Amino acid sequence: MNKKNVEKIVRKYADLVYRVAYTILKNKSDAEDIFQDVFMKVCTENISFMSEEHEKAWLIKVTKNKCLDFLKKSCNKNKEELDENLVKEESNSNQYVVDEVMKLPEKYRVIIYLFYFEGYKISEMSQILEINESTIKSQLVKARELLKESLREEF
Amino acid sequence: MNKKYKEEMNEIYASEELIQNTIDKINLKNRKTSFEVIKKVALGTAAMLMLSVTTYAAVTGVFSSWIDKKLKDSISGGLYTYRIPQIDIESEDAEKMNEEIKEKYGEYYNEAIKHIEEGFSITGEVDYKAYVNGDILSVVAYRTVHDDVFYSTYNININTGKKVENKELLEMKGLNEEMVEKEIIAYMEEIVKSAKYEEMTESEIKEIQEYLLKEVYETKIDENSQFYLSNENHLCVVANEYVMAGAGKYERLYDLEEHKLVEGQYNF
Repeated sequence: MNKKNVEKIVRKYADLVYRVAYTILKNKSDAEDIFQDVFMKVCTENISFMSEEHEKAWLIKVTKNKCLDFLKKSCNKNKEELDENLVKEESNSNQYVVDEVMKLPEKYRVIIYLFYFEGYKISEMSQILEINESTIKSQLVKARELLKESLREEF
Repeated sequence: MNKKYKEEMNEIYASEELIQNTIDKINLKNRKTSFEVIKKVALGTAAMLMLSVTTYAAVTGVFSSWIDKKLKDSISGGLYTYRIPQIDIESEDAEKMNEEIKEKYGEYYNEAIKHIEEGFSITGEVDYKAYVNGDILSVVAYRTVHDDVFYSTYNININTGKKVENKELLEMKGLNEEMVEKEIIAYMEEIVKSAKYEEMTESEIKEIQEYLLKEVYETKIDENSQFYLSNENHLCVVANEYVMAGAGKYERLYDLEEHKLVEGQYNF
């Protein structure tokens, strides 16, 4: 891939990849590492995409998989405690909704992000995350309930 | 909550420093890869010698496909060919060749199945070509990985069931290993010298050329080189194997007489 295309693809999807990674990992430093891994993969392996939607979905899926691999490798009690502390340190006091979302289990955080921020439909999320639609629906309902409780507001 | 969440998420973004560092790293990696490609092409360049033309005779019943599948990539939905040959000749040599083919290419097939199950992309395909010229069956099995192709060749006498050694193929064409070696080295020299070295200074180009040529001159044609007879009964040398850090091997088919690739093109 030439320099121009590298810059184009990284800039185009930078925030998307970073936000997915951060949403899963809850840690800026780890999200940055995954960010570089994902773009390194797409820009050095000459992966071809059928469409822009396919490209975006691929990036979300690879980012999610890389984050989960990372968590599998590094996840232990101490790490979790460390992550929690980092979230508190990094949190902007005004970002109370994001903070509450970040307290949800990982499976809910990604769904909330894709649904509310990226605007994906349940059927689309089902394809990207390879989870059946009914599971996504129920996880979305559960996530909303948990958030409603923590935010104490209707949505 | 929805609006607020969106507003807050917008405050989380990739920093310019992270983006620029990533772009720089990728460009550096691509440049290294580009260097490796030049090196690989020069070193892995195989020579194809067009020495005589006889009528291609298609003979069926001496080879078939052990596996012939189209695998669907779980991400892109694209179909990938997995066709693995087998030699249908009853002989000890044929059996050994089939064992080697099944072990090597069967593993790639299993790997692709695993990738599908785990939700990863399939990175390549496996396929083959088979040619019969007189008594000789040549099977060229190959695996593609992204843009790279890796070949294995098998030559067998369909009447005797015996493996046809490289020396025999060369003798049939009135050649020997030394003659082929000279041909290949001459061709590689041309490739190295005529390559476009983008974004490099003259001293860098000189350094790379010297480095490449040093290894070109060490090229050896021996019993391990991969020859086959093409559909036009042309004697072809498929590839030399070179193992470089992180690069593996890179193979192309060349027509030395016409000085052009049999298929594909350079990406200098």
